[in-house]
Amino acid sequence: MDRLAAVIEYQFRAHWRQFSRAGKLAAGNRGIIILVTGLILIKYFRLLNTARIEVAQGKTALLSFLLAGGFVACVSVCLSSPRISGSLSGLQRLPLSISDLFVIRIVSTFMTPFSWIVTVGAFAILYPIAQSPRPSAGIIAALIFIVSAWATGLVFSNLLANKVRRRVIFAGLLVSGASAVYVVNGNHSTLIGTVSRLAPHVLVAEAALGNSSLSSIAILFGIAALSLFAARWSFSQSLTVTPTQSNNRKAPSLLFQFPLKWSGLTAKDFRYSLRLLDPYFGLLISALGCLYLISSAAPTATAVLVMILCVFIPSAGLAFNSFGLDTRSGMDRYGLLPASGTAIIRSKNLAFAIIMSAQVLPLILLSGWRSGLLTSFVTFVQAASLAIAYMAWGNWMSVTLPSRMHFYRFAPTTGAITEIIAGVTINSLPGVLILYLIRAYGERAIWGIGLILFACVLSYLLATKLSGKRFDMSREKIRDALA
Amino acid sequence: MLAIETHNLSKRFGDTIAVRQLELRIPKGILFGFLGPNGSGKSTTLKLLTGLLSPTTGEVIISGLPVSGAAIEVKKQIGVLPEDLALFDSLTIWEHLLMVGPVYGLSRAETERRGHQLLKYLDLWTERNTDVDQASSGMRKKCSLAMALIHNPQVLFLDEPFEGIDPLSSRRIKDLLLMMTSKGVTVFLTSHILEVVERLVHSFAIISAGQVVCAQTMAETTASGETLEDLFFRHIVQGKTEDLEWIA
Repeated sequence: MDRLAAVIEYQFRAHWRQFSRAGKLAAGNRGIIILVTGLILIKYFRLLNTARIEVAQGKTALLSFLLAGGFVACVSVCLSSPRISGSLSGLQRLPLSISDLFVIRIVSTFMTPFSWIVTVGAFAILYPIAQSPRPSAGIIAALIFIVSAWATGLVFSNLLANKVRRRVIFAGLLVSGASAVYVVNGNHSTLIGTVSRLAPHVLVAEAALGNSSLSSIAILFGIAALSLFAARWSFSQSLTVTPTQSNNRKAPSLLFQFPLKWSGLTAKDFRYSLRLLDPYFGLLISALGCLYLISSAAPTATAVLVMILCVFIPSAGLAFNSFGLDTRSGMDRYGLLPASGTAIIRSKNLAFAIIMSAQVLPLILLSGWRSGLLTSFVTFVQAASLAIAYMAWGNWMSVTLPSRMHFYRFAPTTGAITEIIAGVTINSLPGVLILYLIRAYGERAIWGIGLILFACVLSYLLATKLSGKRFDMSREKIRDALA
Repeated sequence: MLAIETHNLSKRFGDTIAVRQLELRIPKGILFGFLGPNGSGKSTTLKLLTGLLSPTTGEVIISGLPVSGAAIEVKKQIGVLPEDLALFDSLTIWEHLLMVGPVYGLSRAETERRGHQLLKYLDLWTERNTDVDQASSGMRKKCSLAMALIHNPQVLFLDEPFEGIDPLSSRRIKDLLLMMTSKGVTVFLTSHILEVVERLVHSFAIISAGQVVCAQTMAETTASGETLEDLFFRHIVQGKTEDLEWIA
């Protein structure tokens, strides 16, 4: 165990050293992060108290909701952290077995403050359960539930490391989504009832209430054992990626063919963006919006405009941290190219614009088909205003508060949570204003909408110029922050 | 005319002085070797010369242009094989070339033509569609070298160009460097392989603890009857194997 303890200790040191190396780039935010976290925890503990009262009365709706939220949070911790903090290939060279590496992987998941908060939150759920009719059964079930949630997160995190398994996961999610839509639309209430009774968070609530506690715990135990086995198996599989599985491409991406000076850089950033998980949530919202536009008898312009607002929110991490997926080596290449900071940032913006276009274009086209050309035009202007506003704010944030992001993970909010919240709020304003103008003035709002777009373009030009200069001056600091 | 000039060039990282008061005058069209042990300041100097790092004091002038004042103009004239190769993950070798060519003002067709010739010459053409993060270290280095050459630079900076390279490619790179210098290109290279440097360079400098401790031409070295290795070890303090008596 000593050798594992030594590796873990130095992993921990290496993880925290990156913040001190980053200089003062995110120094001002730590107090505010603690404040925001404190506020969220206060709200959460209040909900736990309400859940405690409800559970004592035999009601489990809130408890189930909190458990489901906890499950998602545990999974997202694993998906927002790198597979092993530090160099996995370096560790593989040491005389460590796969089990040793797996232990290091599990422990390294708990290195970030985000994971500590989620852990505290996950164990706090035991408080309302302790007041339930069968507290001991409920607590045992909840503990098994927490283990299975972490293990599930590890499974997804490990499987995402492999190209083929990534595709299987996305296909699985698509099939599950389609099946869910089919079941909900088809009024299969018996099937829904059976499936929902087997959901882990419902099983915990059942165990706490004393309704078939033993069988609930047995099923939960089975789920946890299966997910732990899957986590261990997927981890060992993720270690055996060899050059024989090399990523040989038949031809360069199409974007490399564009006759633009910076198209190669845009193509690179476009490829990187597709490897961040956040934009796929935007795609999901867009798909739901399309489903609404196709199936609704009379879709409203307001609903489409709200959907476009929502599509942008998951991609905030991408817009606000556009250097996050670049490595130190990549940052050096930017330093060697005869290109100004402004040009490099614009090439990244073009990649972001392409990603967002793919998400909002189906909505714009379908709204034109279902609600007329005017609605389509307004949704287009709203999407353009939002994209430009996100890029303007994001460009400045990208050069002032950069943080390392990882492929096939969610964007972390390290050190910049207030700016991200402020950015999403402020940059949604053009969309909200357009929504208000359309509802209040209808077609007469067209000039106002044009003015909003113009203001967004102006702020973009100014922010990009300033960000470019800042990039040229502080490229070394950004490079260090991405270490 | 001088291709590379530095005046009072220093770089400090916190309390550590990586490069101190460096004065270099390298004429156009020569192959210059910059030697020194690990951590002596070679790579930091190369980063300062290419604008990857900004100096704490002093200035760098490349082909008459100050690096700090005319960064983009300087970058158009130089080609760099940096220590960390400056490659992007998840792009293929070919995509790297397609990406940088247009940034240097080359047309797509010209980029493809030069890229094809360079990769053929470096024996990398059949591997062009390999992702660089899946490529061997030698292939990655050759990819970075091709990126440094594609725009026909007037000054070439190479950090350890022969390390990890197979003998055939190594020979070809040497031939290429000699051909380039004969056409007026200035080459500044760092290397630990003293035998190679001795046969290749016109002049050299040895750096230790951030300071140049010896600078002369190869002709002067040969005339003195010493080898480059003799000179190197005369200026660099070595560790003693007696300290490692526990190794079997």
